[in-house]
Amino acid sequence: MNFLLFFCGLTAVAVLGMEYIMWYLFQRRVSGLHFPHEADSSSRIRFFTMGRMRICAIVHATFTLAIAELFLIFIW
Amino acid sequence: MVKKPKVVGELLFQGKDSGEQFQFYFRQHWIRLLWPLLKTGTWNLLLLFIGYEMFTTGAITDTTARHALALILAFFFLLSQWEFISRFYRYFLYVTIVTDKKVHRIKKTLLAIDMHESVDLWLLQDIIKSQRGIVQNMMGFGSLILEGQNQPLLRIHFTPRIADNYTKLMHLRERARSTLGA
Repeated sequence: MNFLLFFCGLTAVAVLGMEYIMWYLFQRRVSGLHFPHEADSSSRIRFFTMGRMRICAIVHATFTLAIAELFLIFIW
Repeated sequence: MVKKPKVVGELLFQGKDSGEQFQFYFRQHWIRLLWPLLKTGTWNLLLLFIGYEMFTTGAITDTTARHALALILAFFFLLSQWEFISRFYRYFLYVTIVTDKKVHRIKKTLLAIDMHESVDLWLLQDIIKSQRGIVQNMMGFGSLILEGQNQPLLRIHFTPRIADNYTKLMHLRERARSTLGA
């Protein structure tokens, strides 16, 4: 049980740390590449803004953490 | 990537000259994200299947082996997710920007690459639009080859909405040439 808690904690730290580092690097790199919606010629559907990207990052971190913890808890 | 709209022509970006007027930009076609998505999805399904089988059948009776398996499955799951999210971010860091004078291609990764190539519009002899195969024609993407004096100056692969972007580029090239001649 103690080991399970330890590995669950370790997984949580790894997931949150990695997601934060990647978001931080992305934010640094993407600075200077912010343009208005109407100038985006990539697609007719213009979805991704910085705010929505942040939400995607949070959703992805939550999903990754939940599934990884489930692996540990159910198989342990 | 998008922030609150400003006056379009006055936008600043990496490598922009003060005299340039920003026109439009595009990323690569979304199909570039399909392979990472499929790869991650397949990996996850496989890992979930193995995990589910272990959980329901109780095939591994040895506790240490079961713990090790749980850790290995979780580890590979995390690796596949991190690879996907880094590819996802990279997709947004590869941008082609068109101004009234130049075509800029900015390619970055999260850590290793920060590339910027620029080509003057008036220097372009030809702009070649190439769509090969059923998928490219159905999805409306392809390659734009910007040619100078008998040599390609810039190849832009996976250009989305290629017909529109090609027309806009041709129009801007003519405008740049006429401005230069005037």
